[in-house]
Amino acid sequence: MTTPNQKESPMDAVRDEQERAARRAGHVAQLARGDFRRDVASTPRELVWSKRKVRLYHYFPMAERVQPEPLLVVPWIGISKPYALDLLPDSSFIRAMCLSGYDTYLLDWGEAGDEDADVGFEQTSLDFLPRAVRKTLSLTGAEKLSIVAVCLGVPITASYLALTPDAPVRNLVSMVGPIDFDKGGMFKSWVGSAAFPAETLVNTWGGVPTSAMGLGFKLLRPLGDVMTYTNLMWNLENEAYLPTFQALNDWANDYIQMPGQFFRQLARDLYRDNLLIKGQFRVAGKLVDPKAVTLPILVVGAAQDHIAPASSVKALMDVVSSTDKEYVELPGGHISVFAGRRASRVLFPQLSEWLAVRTPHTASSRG
Amino acid sequence: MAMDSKGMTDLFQQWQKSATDTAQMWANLYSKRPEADPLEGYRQMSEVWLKAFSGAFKQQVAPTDPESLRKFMDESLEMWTKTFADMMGGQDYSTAMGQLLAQNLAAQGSLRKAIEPQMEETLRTLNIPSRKQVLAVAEQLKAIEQRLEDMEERLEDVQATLARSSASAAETAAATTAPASKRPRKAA
Repeated sequence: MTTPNQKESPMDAVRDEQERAARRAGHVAQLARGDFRRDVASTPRELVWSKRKVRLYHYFPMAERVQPEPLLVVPWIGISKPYALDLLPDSSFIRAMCLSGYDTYLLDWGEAGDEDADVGFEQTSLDFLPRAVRKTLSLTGAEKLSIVAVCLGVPITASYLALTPDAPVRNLVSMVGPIDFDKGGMFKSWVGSAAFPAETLVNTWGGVPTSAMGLGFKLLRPLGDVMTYTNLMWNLENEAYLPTFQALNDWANDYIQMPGQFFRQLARDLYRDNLLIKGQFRVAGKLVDPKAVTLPILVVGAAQDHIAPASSVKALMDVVSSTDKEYVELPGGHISVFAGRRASRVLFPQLSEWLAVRTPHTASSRG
Repeated sequence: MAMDSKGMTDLFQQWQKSATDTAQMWANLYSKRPEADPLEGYRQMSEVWLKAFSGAFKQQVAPTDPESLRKFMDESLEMWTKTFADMMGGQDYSTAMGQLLAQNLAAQGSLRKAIEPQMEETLRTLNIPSRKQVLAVAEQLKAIEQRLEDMEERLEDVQATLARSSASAAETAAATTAPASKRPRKAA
């Protein structure tokens, strides 16, 4: 584009365009070589507890003023790895929490194998998560902690809180976690369909293998890859965009298996029968009543989320008994709402402030 | 850099017309079929596609500069994404997908059932553990880990109880010795 002040001759314009084309071609070659690949999950951490494939990691606070109570991040199980929460330093959710002074703990469910077919809500909500909470508290000396649950981590945490009335949890932040599965978008139509053979699938494969998981997510957005590469084409000259693209693209194609029992419950009890929101979901024979949840809650939905549509996420507001509850809907998709550069400007400060206001300034027995 | 030309626009409109005509042709072809037939799904699909085409071609001028080309491509992709979502989110598609998966799983299950005994025998002959045996070992490991975890928690509980008891014992001791130690000071 030339303005009247710029005296660009046609030859200059052609030369500029050639230079830009050469730069774009160079970046394509660099992408193919992986030159824009940066270290992901680079926030320093230590392994503090493990059970089976489950790992509890501790990330150190990076602020002078350390928050009195720790933060436990409970991500999704299966599907993909949780390093999306600590992708690149400038857009890492975990790093942002450490910079806000939180002793941050991540419950990594690990990569399920065939031997983990038995892992369902019974283990996640009544065994692994309570033990991780207990371990976090014993390590920090705090009496309570706050939980940030992401995606399927939300129904897992909601079940834990509903079934454990005296759970030592101060606050809950629910990020893009589906609760009303009738509003679950395309997955509701497919996995919640009466024709979907969830039981046969689990009996045959033991879980949802990575190939099926990848296919399911690709089908969810058949033109997703085309859109991704179209966006790349338009941003090929933007060097700041390319490392983020590379990291997100690598992560988005790094699927992992979902344990069989968990998928069975997800498909049958949640997507098909939507039992959680009705207060009829049973875990280890116990009825999960979301009304038993009374702690302060922040619910974060993403306006362009096609995996957990905002309406399905917002439903948590209506089913819990909490009086202190707030819903925030941010622009972005299921991942970009917490892993994009916009997240570091919008979501992270908002979330950190919401937690800080609701956490006592001094922990009673922090050692 | 805007290079809008009549030639490009004519070409674009020609392409538009041929695409909509083709979609219309398929829609007409399928809609003339007699009642309930196996092409029902395809008919629905072509109708959705026709609707999509008419949505995509609202733009009448050929996108010849990068900005309008980007806008056109973004809008087209969005529209096609919505089209696929409408098509694949329907009852027919979900049922067909479920049935296809069920058939696939049934075939895999039967195959597995048929070859499993022979595979077990072969592996035994080759002195290699089978999947079933490896899973059995994993089960034992899980049980051992569970017991260790329970023991660790109990130990932590015992340690906490002991710490509390010694703290309270120390407090009691302090409370009983304190008056004796204070009195002389007061007297002095």
